[in-house]
Amino acid sequence: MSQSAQASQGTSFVQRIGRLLADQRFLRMFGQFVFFVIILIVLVQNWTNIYNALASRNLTPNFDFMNNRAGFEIGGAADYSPDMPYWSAFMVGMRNTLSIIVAGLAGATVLGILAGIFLLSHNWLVRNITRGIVEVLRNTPLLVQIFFAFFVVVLALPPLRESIGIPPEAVWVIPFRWLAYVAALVIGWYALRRTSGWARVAGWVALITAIFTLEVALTRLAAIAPGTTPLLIAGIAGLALAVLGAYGPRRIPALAGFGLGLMIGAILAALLRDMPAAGIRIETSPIIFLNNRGLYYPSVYLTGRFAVWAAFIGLGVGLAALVFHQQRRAQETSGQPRHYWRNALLLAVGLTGGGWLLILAQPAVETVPVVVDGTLTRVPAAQAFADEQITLNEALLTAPTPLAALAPVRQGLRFVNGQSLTPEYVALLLALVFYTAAFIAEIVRAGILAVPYGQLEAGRALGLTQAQMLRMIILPQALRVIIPPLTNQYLNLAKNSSLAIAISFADVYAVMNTVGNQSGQSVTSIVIVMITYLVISLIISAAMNWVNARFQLVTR
Amino acid sequence: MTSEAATSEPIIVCKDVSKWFGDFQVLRDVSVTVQPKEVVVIIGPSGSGKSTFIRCINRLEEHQEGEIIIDDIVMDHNVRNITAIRREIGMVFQSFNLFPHLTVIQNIMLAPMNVRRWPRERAEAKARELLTRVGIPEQADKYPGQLSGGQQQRVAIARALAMEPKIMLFDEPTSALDPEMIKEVLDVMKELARSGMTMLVVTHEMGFASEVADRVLFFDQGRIVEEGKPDVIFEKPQHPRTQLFLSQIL
Repeated sequence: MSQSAQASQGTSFVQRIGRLLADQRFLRMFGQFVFFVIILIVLVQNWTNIYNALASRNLTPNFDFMNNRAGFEIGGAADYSPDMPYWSAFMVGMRNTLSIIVAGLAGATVLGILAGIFLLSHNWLVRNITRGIVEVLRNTPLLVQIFFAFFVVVLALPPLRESIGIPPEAVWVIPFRWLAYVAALVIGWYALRRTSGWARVAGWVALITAIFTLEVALTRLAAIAPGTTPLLIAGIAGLALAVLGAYGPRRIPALAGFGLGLMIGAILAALLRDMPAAGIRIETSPIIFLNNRGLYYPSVYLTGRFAVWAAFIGLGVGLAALVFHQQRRAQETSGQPRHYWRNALLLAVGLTGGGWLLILAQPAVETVPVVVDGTLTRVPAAQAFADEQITLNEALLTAPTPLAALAPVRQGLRFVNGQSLTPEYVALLLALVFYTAAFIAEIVRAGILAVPYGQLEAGRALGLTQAQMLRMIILPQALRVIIPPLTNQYLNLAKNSSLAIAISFADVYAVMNTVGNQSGQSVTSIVIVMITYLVISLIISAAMNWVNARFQLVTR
Repeated sequence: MTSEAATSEPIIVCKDVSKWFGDFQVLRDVSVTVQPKEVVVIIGPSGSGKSTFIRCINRLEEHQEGEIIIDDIVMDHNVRNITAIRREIGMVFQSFNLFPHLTVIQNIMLAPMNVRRWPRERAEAKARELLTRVGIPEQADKYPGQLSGGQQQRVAIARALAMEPKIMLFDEPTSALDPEMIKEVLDVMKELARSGMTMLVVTHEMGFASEVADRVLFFDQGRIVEEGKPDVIFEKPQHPRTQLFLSQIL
């Protein structure tokens, strides 16, 4: 101790400096410091340059100009007018950007996972068609795909007057005889459930042939030959075939089945021959319209009865959660299987649906008082609303259901009621979803393939079922590999949404571009855009990092 | 063991089992009968079909000809039969194949809880008992990545035993281990053999074979070339192929 103290006292100042300069810890800190100073100088220099250049043109960078009148139109924004300040235009752009990102992330994730599973399918056709689509999407520029979606897909839709309606304006008839087919299929499934191999295949072929025979007998034969002779011949032939198949020199179950089917078909045809066309009539009229001006869909409103229904939903979900928790614990402690997923789901769906029916059963206000030609009369609420004698809010208070939907209705060259999405939004969303989904598909495929084959063998050797292995072994390990590159794709989608400007969709970048050009404050506008995307990206990253941390393996 | 076992019902019956990988025949008419509590060690050069053979016994590989009957259940394409057979057979792999995202005790409890539908308490008690048996009760809450190879293989043995199988298959359980860890795994296997477990072991550990095996099968080119008691096979091998193989590894 004392020796080393003496030694340090004895060293000269120069020696100590020399030692410090060779110290690894000092060198690291010094390096950091030098780098920081260089960055600071570059930043200050640049900002001074920009500031001086702008100031010489009377454009001092600041954010006050955002309060000035915007003066330009934004399509599809009902709550915005050119008289509002730039800030309002920015908020409209922000809303559009966030809307496209949220919808895009959801769509790309679902489509990407599906395509990723298809890429691993054992079905040759499914696998190779998906492979082809993914390759085309991955290897062409997104900008080209956005133009394609806009000009070739969306703008090629029919004009407004010839809108595609979903579902179409039509009358559907479900014949009663189809019930007989359903019954036959159920009986067949029951009869064949213990067979396997060729006996099962032959049984199903016989069953389907029999149903087909019945259909022909009911619709064609009865029309061509009104008498019962053909049916009689078919019935006897069926009986003969059935006997031959069952008791002949060789037992042929398929022949017996076909004969039996033919015979039963003939008997049923004879009984039902007068009612082949009888059935349930369903009339449909469109609620969604698609044309080259956009997508029109119903708007959904909460009515005066919604609060009661919400209470039912809350009760259902609450009870379901309770049952789920209790029964899962019961299964773990007793070992007896409890169908906690099914029971909880039934409870939630049952109370939600049951609540709806109960509310519907309550007597509703049927007529409302209105003044027509100076006299007070009562007319049905729906009619009064259609004739614009009462407002939407008044009509909603009289509605018998907790939710009410107003389908879009075409009036001349525009649609009233309902909501709409602009063609630009639809095209951009389609392009972003498909492009990103192609990359996500490859990530999902790689993630599943990254689980070593030995893991599956171990699961199989323990007697786990295919579903259990997927849930307990493959997915937890695949997600660990999938999440980091998936985060990159999410960030790409968010940033790529700024390509909206190519088809004039008013996202935050397109709006701020106009703001910058118009106000002359391009630098400030670009700074606002950069901060906006930075914040969005950081939020996505933070969320995904949180998810990622939950799936990592412990190895030390 | 063999003399008393010979009188009882066999637990594994393989009759003329054949299998091809493409055009290459890996198993040629393999017939083996194993009695309960018997310990059978399978040796042979690599590529001789010994691993493929024991993997056919729990259907990790599908045999194409011949008959396999495990504990009176016929191995066919019926999913229920396959699952029933797999429940009765535990398997230990060369590369351990522990689930890396689960802790040691979760690895062991997974199958009893989800396949046998045991209550959590029972599965956990069984898991702790088995960890004590293989000598690592203190590692229960660690992840496989935190253990040494020998410890991992002992966990894998405990995981297979947790299903209370009637038969244990070992596919070269010590081949991926450092020399000083081989002994700890072999000790567990010897203790298991003495406790009366029916075991089929593919291994190159001749010391283990001569100490606990009731019977040794020598595989070559998909066939059982020679079989017999370990001392007979190791001291006086009859077949020239066996003699060559043993002279090279002993």
